[in-house]
Amino acid sequence: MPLVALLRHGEEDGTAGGRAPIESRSRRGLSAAGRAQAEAARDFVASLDAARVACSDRPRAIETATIVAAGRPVDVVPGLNSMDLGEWEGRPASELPELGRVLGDPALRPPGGESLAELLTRFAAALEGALPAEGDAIVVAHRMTNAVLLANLLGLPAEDAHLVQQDPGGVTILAREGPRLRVQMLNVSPLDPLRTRAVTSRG
Amino acid sequence: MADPPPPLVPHVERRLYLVRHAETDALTADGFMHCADPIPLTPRGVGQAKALGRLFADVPATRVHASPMDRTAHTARILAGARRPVAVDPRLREISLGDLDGAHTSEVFAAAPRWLADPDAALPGGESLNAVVARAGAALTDILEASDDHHVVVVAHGGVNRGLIAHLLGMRMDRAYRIRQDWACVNVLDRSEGRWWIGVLNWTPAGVDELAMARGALIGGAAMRRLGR
Repeated sequence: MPLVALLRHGEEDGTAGGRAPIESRSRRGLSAAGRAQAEAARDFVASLDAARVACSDRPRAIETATIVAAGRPVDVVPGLNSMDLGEWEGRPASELPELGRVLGDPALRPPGGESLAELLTRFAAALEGALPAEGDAIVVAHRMTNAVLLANLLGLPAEDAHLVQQDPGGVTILAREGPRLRVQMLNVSPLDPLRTRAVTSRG
Repeated sequence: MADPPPPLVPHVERRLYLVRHAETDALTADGFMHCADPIPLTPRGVGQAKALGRLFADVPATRVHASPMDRTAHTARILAGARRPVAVDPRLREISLGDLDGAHTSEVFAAAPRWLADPDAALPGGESLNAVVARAGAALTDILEASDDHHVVVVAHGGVNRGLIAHLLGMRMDRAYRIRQDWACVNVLDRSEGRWWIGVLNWTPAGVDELAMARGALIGGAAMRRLGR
């Protein structure tokens, strides 16, 4: 039973505490915290025998994958890219009242961008193509790419995909059983597995 | 103004740590299934519970809730440490195997071929998954209402946890057994804006190593393959 480690990239430089504009195509790399997350993820998946390491073409994913790969070659697969936000790229979420509707209805798309349903189709196909014929794999992608796929694997409707959290550098382990992927472990932050450092304010 | 966008990072109003008890030998290598007490933790299971105890020492919960069965109460006792009480609720007990407790898996699935596939199917004298979710869900609701803790820790069972996670997330109950639950695993669920969000599923102190070694030797795995799911 080959295993697939599906990661979200580590924290992006300049985004600690949240990012005001929504940027799928950001060219920034990782912050120091993001690199530490990637190093912890590398150690966490060290027992996998990865025949392939693949990532999206975003710098934050490539930098994460390069660290996790620990010297193995990294294949850049644009089909693993983050959601295409079309004309909304780079705008503050506060200026996008329709964003909530798009993330809550898999059929809606941002102007010039892609819907959650399209994202799932595109990402699932790219992931399947990125997996080696034999052996384990490591794939580094993005919050919503992973969330729509995992929601689908768990039997959650696409409009609830955002309920599947993906922390920066979070590791999800999938098992391949023939063409099927089964969730074994989801969104583990090796530096903080109980997420005691994640924001948990009340009220 | 349309609906405000849902934040992609939830504002966590409540955090639930749903833990499965540590290792037992209830499902023996030769395929006999046991659920009812007495089922003690193995020595390795005690070690797993101690690892959880070290991790949960920093979790600000004033008590630990658990099923009263041997394996969960013992795991919870070790996890809670010296300074926290364990509160047991019988509604968190594992799904009952009824008359087939202690039978071989082949006998169990011959008696109820759709037991894992159909949440309404029950073994003779036993319970369906939906019945378990009804009682365990009521217990969880009471625990959350009665507790002032922001972080709530519940130690229960593989079947109970799968049913509760599917129920809280709004998943189809016939998918519940897709959720893997290893010995001493931790699931983190966050309450925000009227919904439960998945934080973590099936993390164990052993990390990936055990998964990588086991390679599919999971409880229920052979049964699931037999059912073609």
